[in-house]
Amino acid sequence: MRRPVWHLTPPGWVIASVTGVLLTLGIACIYVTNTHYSASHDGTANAARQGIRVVVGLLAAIVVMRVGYQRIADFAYALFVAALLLLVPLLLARVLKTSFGGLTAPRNGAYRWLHLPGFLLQPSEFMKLAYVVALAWYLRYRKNYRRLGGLMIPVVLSSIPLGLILLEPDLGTALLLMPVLFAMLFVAGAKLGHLVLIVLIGAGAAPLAWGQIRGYQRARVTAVFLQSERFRQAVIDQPERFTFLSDDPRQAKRQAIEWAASSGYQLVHSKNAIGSGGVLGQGWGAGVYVRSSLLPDRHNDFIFALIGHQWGFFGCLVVLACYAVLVLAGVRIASATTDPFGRLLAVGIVALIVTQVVINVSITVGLLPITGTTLPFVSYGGSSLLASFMGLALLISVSQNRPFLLATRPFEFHRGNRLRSPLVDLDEVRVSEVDEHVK
Amino acid sequence: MAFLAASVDQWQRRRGAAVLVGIVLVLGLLGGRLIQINTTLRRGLTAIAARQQKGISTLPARRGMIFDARGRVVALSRQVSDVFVDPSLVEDVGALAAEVAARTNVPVADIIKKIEGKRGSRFVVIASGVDEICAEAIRAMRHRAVGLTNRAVRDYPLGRSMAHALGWVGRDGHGLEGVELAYDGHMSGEAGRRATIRDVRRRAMRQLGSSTVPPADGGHVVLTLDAEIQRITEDALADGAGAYEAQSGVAVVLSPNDGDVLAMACWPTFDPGEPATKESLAIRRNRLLTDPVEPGSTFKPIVGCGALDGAFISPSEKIDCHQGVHYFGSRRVKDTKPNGLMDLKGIIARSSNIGMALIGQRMGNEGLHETIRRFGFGERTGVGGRAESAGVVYPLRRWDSYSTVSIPFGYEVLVTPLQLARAFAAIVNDGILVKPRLVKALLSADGEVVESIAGGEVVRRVTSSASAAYMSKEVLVAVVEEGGGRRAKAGPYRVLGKTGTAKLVDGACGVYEPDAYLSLFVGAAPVSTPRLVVLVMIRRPNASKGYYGGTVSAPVVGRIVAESLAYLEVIPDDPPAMAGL
Repeated sequence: MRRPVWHLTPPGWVIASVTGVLLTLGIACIYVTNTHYSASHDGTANAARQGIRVVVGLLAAIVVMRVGYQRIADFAYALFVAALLLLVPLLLARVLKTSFGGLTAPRNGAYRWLHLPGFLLQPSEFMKLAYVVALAWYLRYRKNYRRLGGLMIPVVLSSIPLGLILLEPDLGTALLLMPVLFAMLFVAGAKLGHLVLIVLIGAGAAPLAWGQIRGYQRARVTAVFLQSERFRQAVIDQPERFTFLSDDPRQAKRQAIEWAASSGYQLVHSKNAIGSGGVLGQGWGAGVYVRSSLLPDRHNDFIFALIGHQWGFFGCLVVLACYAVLVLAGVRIASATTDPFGRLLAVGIVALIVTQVVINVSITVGLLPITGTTLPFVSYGGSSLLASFMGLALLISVSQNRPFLLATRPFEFHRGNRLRSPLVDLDEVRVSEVDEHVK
Repeated sequence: MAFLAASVDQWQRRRGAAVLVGIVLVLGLLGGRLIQINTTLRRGLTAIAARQQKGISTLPARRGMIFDARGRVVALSRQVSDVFVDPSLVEDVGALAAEVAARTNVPVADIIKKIEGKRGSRFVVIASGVDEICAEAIRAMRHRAVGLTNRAVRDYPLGRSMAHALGWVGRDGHGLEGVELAYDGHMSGEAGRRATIRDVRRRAMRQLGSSTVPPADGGHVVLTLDAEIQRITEDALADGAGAYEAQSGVAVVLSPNDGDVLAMACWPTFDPGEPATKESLAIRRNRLLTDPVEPGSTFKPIVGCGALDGAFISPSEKIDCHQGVHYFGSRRVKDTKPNGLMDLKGIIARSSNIGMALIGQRMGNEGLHETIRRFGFGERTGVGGRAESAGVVYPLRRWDSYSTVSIPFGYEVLVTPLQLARAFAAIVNDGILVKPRLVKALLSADGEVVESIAGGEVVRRVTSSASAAYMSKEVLVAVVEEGGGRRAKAGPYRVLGKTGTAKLVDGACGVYEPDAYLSLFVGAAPVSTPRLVVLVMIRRPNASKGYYGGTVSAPVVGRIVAESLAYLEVIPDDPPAMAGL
């Protein structure tokens, strides 16, 4: 049963409304923010650009909803491969140190963007979405998530984009994929033992990764710990005790001394922006952090700090509440559908958005190391906005296209088995009983 | 088990609820952190942020100039800029390089190479020391990857001339040697301050008006040195030392009545604008002040004055000089030429060591020691600051019978060239020792006289007027006109003076080295009223070409005297035109 695109379901309306609130807040922040060091006000231009992106995002969302998530399912793996291929030129550019005639020129030392005529494309944003779609498509089969062998494939598949993104480097996006995978596996019904095993393997690999990542990335991680003044003092007093900060005690000591001016600079200012906002904030367009460029990236990665600065704790709560409502609506959609692919897709998209929110806000308030992640629908940036719009479109599409079923068929076996008895809808124990019965 | 019996649908919903609870918990945690930031952390954070926003930028003061005695600029500071590029902000290297190249005159290829070579860096200097016009052109680019840093450079318009007296300035803009160091406090000025609100790049955004302190530029220094006499002296010294293939040489020109140092030269010299180059510290040292030497025969007039003052000898008395060889105890003393009976004038004019040693025995160690100290040996002249040596005059208790013989002809005592020149100046200045001065006046940044340093500050009378007159008008004139100093004659000007040839000690072995000499000549002119005292000291001339002070150094003094007096427009004692009448 197809509905017209504009005929939203109740959760669809909820999602559209909170998204509207978030977009408005974002554009309001971008509008008052001057990103250039010259005197000219370019917040207007940035806001206009963001507005155009919203329009483009809406169009993309309509296209996705019109196509419907079920038809997209047929191209799940193809989309995943296509998104992977988009990452390849960036990787080559990094390895070969070329920019393919400006196509993949690095910004701030990272090869994350394709310089297309007129705009920058960040393929990793689309990679995330394609990853969720492909994973949901794969996990709709029971045998794929109840057995360790079946679980290995998503883990291995995850490691491909993970590796590519890590090489760009884009640590934030890479770390994002893990919670999403985990949430989808968990909801699909993977055995807890398997999940624990994966977590343990991951925890075991972390120290290895610590040795591999670059100095500046390490400094960002240690910057989070160095927020404590007492800890900083301890490092300054006895740097040789804190070898995990740096192999060289002098380096560790220097990091601690210079923390507020170097690795901790953004943290100090983002927290101060929020703290100085108080309960109700300084007001729209007011406050030193809006007017001056003390806080770098304040209109994209650190926009949450600007919200806290302008609208205070109240504004922060509104934003977090918007996302909470979005999550509730997403979960409602997931629970309402009986199509396993749709359900996992909904869960995956919700997990993707909420993980980005949690990571971004945690960075802003100094709970996670600084990596380039955006606040969905609020931050300035095209690729992230477009991908988020498409994700929400898929989510709404799930709610609009309930499979027409006579009996509950919460998950399916292989396509070839579609005509089997409804008994196959029962869980594993029953299935084995059926098998015995058949014998 | 219940969950096994439940449908997968319910099972997944339950897990979904668990995820939901987890998400809500995490969001709650973030909310809690926000409350924490808003309450407990707020004060400390504000303090840190305020500290970072407020910046003090220094407004550098301009370093003062140095003028010579006639107001010629011999050292000045200039503001220059270095052009730098932040490669991380460069998007189109080629376009940027072309733009910068057009303004800085640095080839495009070089700029591209510099930027590409340090891609990871944030600071690459493209052109250093560009002038204000170029800096303005760069500023007008308003490109965020291109910037300027300012620094002051010290220029010395005379180049290598006067280098030892001026000293030099370090990278921090403070004097490290010479006048630059001695008057650093006066010339540095006081840097100003400006408090500003800074952005993330530490660029000043807004000025906090009330707390601005303007810089106070440094004052200027006026030297007694005269650039022209300095040039004459340096040229003559370099030619003289070069002609005899010497190791090094020094020369000083004093004005005897006011003690002004008119020229001060060390050869070889260096470029004070580039002090940290290959020239060694030994070359950069102002040896006139720092390196005491045994003065040899040039010491004889000083001891002679002491003998006259103490009536140990009268001008008419004749002493037997023992035909060139005499034994003092077991010690054999030789003269270069055998002499018989001679008066004081003869002894000094013919530079008899035996005669001087005999006078020394009459004076005794007390008399000698007292004379030497009176003439200012063993004490600093006060022009050279901390680096100046006082020379070495041993305390009387360490003198023995050897000293009685050696000191009258200038051994066992170490004097700096400036001390020796000053003592001579006292002899030609009616016996009055004057404190030498190198700096005449200190000016404020606006050119007002802040402090005037008086010339001719009398230290003490060192010899009687009669002794001084006899020594300068009779004895020392005879040295030039009849004795070993004939080559010091300076055209129309009559010169008085004394030669000296001292053996040099090999520092490593502690013995007098064969064929290693210090050739000295101290002179003054014109004889009627001496205007200049000139000392020239040439170290280690090639002994096969000549090494006597009268051979090596006297012609240099003659040339300095002739050219300098002409420059000063001093009327000669016997003008050549008059002689021809």
